[in-house]
Amino acid sequence: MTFKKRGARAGALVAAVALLAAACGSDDDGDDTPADAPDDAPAEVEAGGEFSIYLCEPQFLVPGNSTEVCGSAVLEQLFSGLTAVDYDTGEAYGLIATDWETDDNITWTFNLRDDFTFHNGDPVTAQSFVDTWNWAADPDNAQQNASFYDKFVGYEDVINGDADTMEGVRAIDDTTLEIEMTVPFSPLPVMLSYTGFYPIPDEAFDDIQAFQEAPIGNGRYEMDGVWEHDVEIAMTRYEDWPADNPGVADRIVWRIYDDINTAYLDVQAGNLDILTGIPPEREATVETDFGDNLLRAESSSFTYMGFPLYQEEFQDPDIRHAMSMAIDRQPIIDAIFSGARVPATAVIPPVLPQHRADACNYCEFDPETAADMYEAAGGPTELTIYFNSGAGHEDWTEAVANQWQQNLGVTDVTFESLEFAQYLDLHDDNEISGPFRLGWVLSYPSPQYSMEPIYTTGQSSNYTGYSNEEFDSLIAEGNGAETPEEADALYQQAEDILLEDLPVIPMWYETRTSVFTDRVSNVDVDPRTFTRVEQVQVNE
Amino acid sequence: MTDAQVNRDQAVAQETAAAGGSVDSTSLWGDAWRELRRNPFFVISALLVVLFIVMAIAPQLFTGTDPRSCDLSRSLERPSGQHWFGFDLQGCDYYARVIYGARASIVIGLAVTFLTAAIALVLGLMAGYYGRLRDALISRFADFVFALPFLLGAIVFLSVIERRAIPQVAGVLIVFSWPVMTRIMRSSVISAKNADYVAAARVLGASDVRIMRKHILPNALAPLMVYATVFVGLVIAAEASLTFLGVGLQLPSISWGLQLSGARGRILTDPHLLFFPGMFVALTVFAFVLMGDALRDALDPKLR
Amino acid sequence: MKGYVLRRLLQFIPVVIGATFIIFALVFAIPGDPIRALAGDRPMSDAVRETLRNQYNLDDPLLIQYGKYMLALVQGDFGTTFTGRPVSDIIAQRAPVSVRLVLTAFVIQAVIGGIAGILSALRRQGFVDSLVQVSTTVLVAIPTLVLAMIGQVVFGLHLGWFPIAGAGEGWYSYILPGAMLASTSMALIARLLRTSLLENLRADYVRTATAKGLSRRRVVVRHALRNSLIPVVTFLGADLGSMLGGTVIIEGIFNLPGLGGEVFRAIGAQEGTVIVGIVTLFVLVFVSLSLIVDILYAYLDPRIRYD
Repeated sequence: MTFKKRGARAGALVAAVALLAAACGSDDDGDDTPADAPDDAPAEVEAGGEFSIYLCEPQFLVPGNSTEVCGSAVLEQLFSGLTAVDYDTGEAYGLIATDWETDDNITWTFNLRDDFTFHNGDPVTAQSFVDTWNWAADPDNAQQNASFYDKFVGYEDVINGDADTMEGVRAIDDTTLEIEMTVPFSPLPVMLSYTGFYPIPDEAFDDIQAFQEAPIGNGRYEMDGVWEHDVEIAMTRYEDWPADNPGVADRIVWRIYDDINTAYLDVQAGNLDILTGIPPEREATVETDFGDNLLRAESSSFTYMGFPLYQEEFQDPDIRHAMSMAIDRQPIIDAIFSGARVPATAVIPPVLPQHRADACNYCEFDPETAADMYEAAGGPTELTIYFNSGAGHEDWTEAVANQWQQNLGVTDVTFESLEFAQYLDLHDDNEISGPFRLGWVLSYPSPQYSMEPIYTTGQSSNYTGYSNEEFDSLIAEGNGAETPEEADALYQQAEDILLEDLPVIPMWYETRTSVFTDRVSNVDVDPRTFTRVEQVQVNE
Repeated sequence: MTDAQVNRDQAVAQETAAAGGSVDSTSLWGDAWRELRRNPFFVISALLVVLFIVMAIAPQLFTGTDPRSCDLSRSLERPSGQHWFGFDLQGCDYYARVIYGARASIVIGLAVTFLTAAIALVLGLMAGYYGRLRDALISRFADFVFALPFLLGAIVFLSVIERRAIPQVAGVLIVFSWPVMTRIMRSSVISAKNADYVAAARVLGASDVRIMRKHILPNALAPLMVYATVFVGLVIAAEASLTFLGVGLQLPSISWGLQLSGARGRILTDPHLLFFPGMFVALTVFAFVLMGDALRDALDPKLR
Repeated sequence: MKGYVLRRLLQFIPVVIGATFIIFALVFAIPGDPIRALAGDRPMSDAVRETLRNQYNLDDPLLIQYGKYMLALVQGDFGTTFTGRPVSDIIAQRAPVSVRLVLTAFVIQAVIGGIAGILSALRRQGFVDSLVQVSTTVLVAIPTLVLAMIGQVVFGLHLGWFPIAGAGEGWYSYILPGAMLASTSMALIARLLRTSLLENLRADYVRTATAKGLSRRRVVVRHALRNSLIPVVTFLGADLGSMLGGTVIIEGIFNLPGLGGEVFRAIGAQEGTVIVGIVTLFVLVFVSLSLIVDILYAYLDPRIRYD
């Protein structure tokens, strides 16, 4: 229902979700020394028990097709990827891969363990990955994550129908996988931790619709029964999972809710154990409602106000600077979000180690300077503000509009609230005539992913039309850098250019609040806003 | 049209009005007016209606505060002696917002009613007086529209429209509400048409237009008038509902529906957001419904 | 009678086709590509989009799309959502919720409205009558939307008599939303019944019956009430349409996972198959009910005969 509460819908609209941590595990000199797998399970954790956790109805339960939170949260328990991310150190480590090597960030060799199996007993081999990725890249199979393969050699040929398989993805033998990129791409191991790169077994290809009703994965947990739409998804621990940090609880029940308000009441009543992402209007009372059974976690979920740079009146950077400085972010966060946002002072999010709190020169509230600058630059007095409807953006865009009216002498504000499909179409046709709201969640934890898709020339998510050669080449250099430190420095230089040009106004990062019952402990939420369900302990 | 449908239309009309037949029209309206002036419910509802119309025309008579001057630091403050209705989420004076909200509701209510009544008048007269093909066409088309649940139809229709201000919302409400009024008009035209004095006029050689204007219209108008008065209230409620659902009026319009919609997520913590616009919507609808009631009692000779 | 029912059933066909076509055309006209909305902020590749548009016939002209849809529908296939889920599954899952809600409302309005109407007619000008008159006027005036929100706060939150939201407590969860959905109609039924009962009690045949020495109870129940029910039955039939629409609001406010809420969600996602499927269902229910109402006439009023 759209009407369907804001939270649930907002969640679904935030697209691409995936792993988030820091740095890439690649090594420059061809030596294979990826970060060691973390010793996750604290010593005192006792395995066993069953708990329930909130879920919104997933769109799909196929790794190649799941781009939203609801599906991905389930899939990352059912499946394991080549790599995973350690949330304590923020680095990629090998999960199915034991190690990897590259000389040039172009050709990568991954060595695989031989003891991973799918839940039906089939072994997970290098060929499993090759088959899965080729299948997902094939446009006939309409997998939404296919575009994540666009840097693999041969992807274009498959898309154009000139080839059936991607030339750049090769199984040398059962435990050796070779990937060839079109451009140097150092964040590859981190990217491979994303949902869209999980392997699926052969039997999935016969009937993918039937497959996703009870996905057969290779992860810590296996399906217990089928996906009961709008009701629940149950899973039990897969005892043959070979790696060091298996799931703690015996059984997890994902209870599907239409509405987070109902879920919130159910946690209060003890009918549901964990809810991540409480309804915004509960932020004000959640502390009295839950006391210690409450967790606030910062996330990479970034909200920005973009400028249509193809419109005459927003081409002067001073106008963009002034509009950013005319926004007093903290009072908006306090009033509208009950404090559950962190004001943005950079583009690389604070959950990444590459974040610099003082990166932005124009994100501090300074109404006088803003007013002078806006007047001097001849900023428009009439504004149309765009946002997608039914996703909880009405209140804060109105507040921002009020501040522009009060601080910049804008006299006339119109709002365009559109359904998301209409909204994106307007963007495609360059018909946006004023500031617009959009968001970005990191699908994998790299500064590259926080910038390249949104701001480099001609990228699919570049809705502002921003184009700066220097910025583009810094990103490319970062992608090809020999050491992580070098890469970080280059990404940060690129970020500086971005924050000077300011094609978007950075608004804030979301803080996700979770609540839980006394029955569970060791509840932790990672920067993607995913609960680390495999670590949750049931207190019996 | 089957017997049963005729019966149904009359029954629908019965609750709203049971006037018609061979009553001398001048005395009907004259008597009704005398009766109305003595009816305290009519007086109260008429005063309320006038009050809301004045509020819609000149809100600044009721408040000196600018509803668009807001201060976030006062967000959600409770009602106080200085600010009777408190503040909304944006820190705007809620009393001013609610007062200025009257305009959208009243304009939509009256505009939709007048236009729908005009359509119903013409279509109902044509269908009821001429019958046959014209009747069949009009009635069947009304059936199509009538078979669609009103609110659902309106929601789908409104999602097609990108910019929704008062004219668009009013237009969609008209599209989905004309069948009921047309049916009421049609039934009362049919019953008036069959009256002896119409037959007499026809024998005397009066033209169709003259018969309609002089004999049928005055008698068939009463049920329509009664329904139309109640209908203003229904339209105002419908507009608030559609806006509440997010397919009606949009920001930066100031409307009760938008205020109710904003109150929705916060009724547990900030009930004043719900209470004041809710009370105003209810009072406006109440005034029109009450007025329609009084009108029906006055126009229905059987209840006298 | 049989011939009449058959003729009416045949009349269903154009009404259903007309109504579904109107909705279908409107959904078609909604700007924006629904396939894009599926993906969110990070767009899917053009190749994938193309495949999906083909799969859902989105590139066909309106009439072809409608034709394909109706052809499948006649064979009992309601189509699938953009995530590949059969619409019939969704309907099967959500219909019980809406049916329960509407039934609860129906019973509440018929019983309470009926009793109130009869009592106030029998005790005309008395205390009960005044009470009914005043309370019905107030009920009719408060829009369902406002009443439902107030009801939720008062009975759900402050008094705690009913669950605030959700369908977690079985039939009990439906009482408050059902009552809110029924409120306006309940008041209208009470007034309608009062008016028509009063009229019938003054009618000649009632006087005759009383003169024959029949007990008052028998006169009222067997004669006057039976005839007075005709307008009420009519009203109930016609009212169902607005009640189906009202479920959109009530299911939204009380978070009931029914069809009304689903159709609203589907409009946002431009899922034509879901919208048209559910609306078609509503239209079918609605026209079937009008037929039942017309047949009830014949039973209630022997003067009405269908050939």
